[in-house]
Amino acid sequence: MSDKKHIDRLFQEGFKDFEAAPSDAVWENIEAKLNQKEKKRRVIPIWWRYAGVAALLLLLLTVGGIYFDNTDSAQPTNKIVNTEDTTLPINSESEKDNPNNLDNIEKDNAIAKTDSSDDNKNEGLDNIATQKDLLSNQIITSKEASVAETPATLGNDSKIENSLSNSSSNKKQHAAANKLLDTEESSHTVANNLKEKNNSNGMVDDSKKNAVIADNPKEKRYVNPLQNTTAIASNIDSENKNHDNGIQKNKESLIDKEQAKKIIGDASENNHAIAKTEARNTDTAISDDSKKNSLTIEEAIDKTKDIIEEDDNVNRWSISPNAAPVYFNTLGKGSSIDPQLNSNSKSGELNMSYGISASYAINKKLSIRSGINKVNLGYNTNNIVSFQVVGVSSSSRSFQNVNSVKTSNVSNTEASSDNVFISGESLNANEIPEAFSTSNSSINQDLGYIEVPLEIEYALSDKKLGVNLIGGFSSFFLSNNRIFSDSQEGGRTFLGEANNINKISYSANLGLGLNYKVSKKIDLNLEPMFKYQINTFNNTSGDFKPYFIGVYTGFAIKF
Amino acid sequence: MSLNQLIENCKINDTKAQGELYKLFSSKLFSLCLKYSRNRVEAEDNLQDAFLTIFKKIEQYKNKGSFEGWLKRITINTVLQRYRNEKVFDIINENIIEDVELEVDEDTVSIDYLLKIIQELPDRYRLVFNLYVLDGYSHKDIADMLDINIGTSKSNLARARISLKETIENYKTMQSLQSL
Repeated sequence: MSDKKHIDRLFQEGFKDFEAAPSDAVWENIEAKLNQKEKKRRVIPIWWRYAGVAALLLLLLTVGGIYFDNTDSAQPTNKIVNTEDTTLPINSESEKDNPNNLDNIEKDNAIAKTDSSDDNKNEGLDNIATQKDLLSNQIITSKEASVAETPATLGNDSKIENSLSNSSSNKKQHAAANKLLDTEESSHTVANNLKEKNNSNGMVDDSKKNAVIADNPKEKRYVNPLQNTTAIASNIDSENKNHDNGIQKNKESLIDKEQAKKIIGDASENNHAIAKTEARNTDTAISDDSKKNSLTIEEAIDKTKDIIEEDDNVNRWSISPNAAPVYFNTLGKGSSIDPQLNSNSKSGELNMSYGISASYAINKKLSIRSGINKVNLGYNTNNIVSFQVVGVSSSSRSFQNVNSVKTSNVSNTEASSDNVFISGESLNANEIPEAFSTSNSSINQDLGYIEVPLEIEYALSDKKLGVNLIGGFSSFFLSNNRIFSDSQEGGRTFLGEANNINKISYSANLGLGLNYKVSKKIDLNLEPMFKYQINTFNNTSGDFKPYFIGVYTGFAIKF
Repeated sequence: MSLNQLIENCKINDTKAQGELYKLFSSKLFSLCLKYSRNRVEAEDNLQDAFLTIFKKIEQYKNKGSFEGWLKRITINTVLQRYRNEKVFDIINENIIEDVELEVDEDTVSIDYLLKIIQELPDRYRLVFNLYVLDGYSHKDIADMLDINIGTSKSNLARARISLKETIENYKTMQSLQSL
């Protein structure tokens, strides 16, 4: 018969060895979702990595550009902005000037009546007056002459002379302007637009006259700043035509103050509009560009997707720890320490560089790599004579580019003693008093850097033994900077820090990479590299061109 | 391939290894899911979610404790996440019902039937009964896991037991009636 049993036991025993197989669909779903996730997980990082590399490149180039590029280039954009900026106030000023201008014009002999003050406005007015005068003469050529006369009556202001000579040599200036500035074109368009605008107002005659008005004060405003002369030139140019057409009507029309204001206002609006449309044009251009860019980015992502799907099992990434003996030397004869050591013999020192680098294979042939390395560099300047002077300031004998550290001897109760070093090349042995303790020594400069290379590897052969061509550049961050004196007796004294070493410097790298594929995952590398240093020292004497050679060995782990 | 190697390969998202791991543990974990779920379909859903979580979190597995225990915990958590939030009407008083006889005749009751009646329990009862009786968690653990208090856990367990017992007894009566 059946025994009574606690319900817990019933279930515990029942489920003890309970196993059930799920349907196959479950795994299929899991697999599908895993793949989805993997794709998502991998596409984004790769895009990020590309972006990272691009950003790094950009950063390095920018930094490099700031350091290397001392020439003032790429200013045109600024200048365009400037002209726009200047034309606007000019217009407003020309409006202001206009009443005066008209007042003056109403008076027949403006030259005589206007003040001979140094003020710009008055210059402008005077000139306008003279122009008006010459307009009434209806001879454009004589305008120049009369203008040339005005300075005499007006006084000695050089600015006035300047302005007058400017207006008298319209054409020359125009020609010169072509060479001078890019902004000329923009002011041309301003002038052209002015004309067009005026024409469209349907007041052909008036507008021409008014254009003259608008131009005249503007011209005067323009005169002083040299940059603006081009604008003047173009304005004057257009003005001349107007003169030809509207000379007779000028007198009466100039009096038409209201209209003049209005047109000038229009003109200034026009200028505004020009500026705006230009801005908008550039905006749209930019947005077009950016559209293109975004498109290409998407395409790039698609491509990367494709690539991933195509060769999912290729090991694109590798990390390689490396170490290298590096030999530092200079191509030229100079010295980084002191000019007097230029002709001393120098010998490079063998040091170590070690670090780790990561590389990403863009395709079968090309890979890009970066990393971080600790580099120690050193070289010796030989044939240095050092002697001790007691209690004498040695500043005159210390090296030019060394911040010396006082090597005062603690046990020495005497006054501080300093070592004085001079080049043995230029020294006669008997010049040194025997009383001094002298010794032959060498100066050892010791530099430590953190190196961040960015290099491209091109595979010439990718057999079992691969051969690569490596090129790129490195950024160096100074971490150690010391100068020692090594005496023949074996003593080593810390002299100080070199003060002419840049905190950040660069090198151009070129090398040959040999790699032996041990397994699918591991390569052995041997890379002789030549690195030509740029911007290492900011003040070297003679022809000091440092470089170093390193034979980098290591292994790469691919994944 | 050893289990450890398999785990390592799963950590680097090796699809083959993931398949192997699934083959090794899917039945065990599926039985777990069946007990905790309302029906087979939901159990399969839960198993799928559990494995996705496992593959996602396998990196975090540091070889501490048994791997199977780790898998089970993840599976149970996955299931709990699904049912924990579904409200159970606790209108019944939570006093622990004592002195109820919980002995049933030991007859051959098929495992399928046991599973069926467990699945038919209200969510909370099913979870508590499973956790306490079949997977050995304490009321304290259960209270933490389900975000309820210990008293509720005990009460739920008692009600689950009574419910199961009644179901089984009814079933047996029905059977004996039928056989008559």
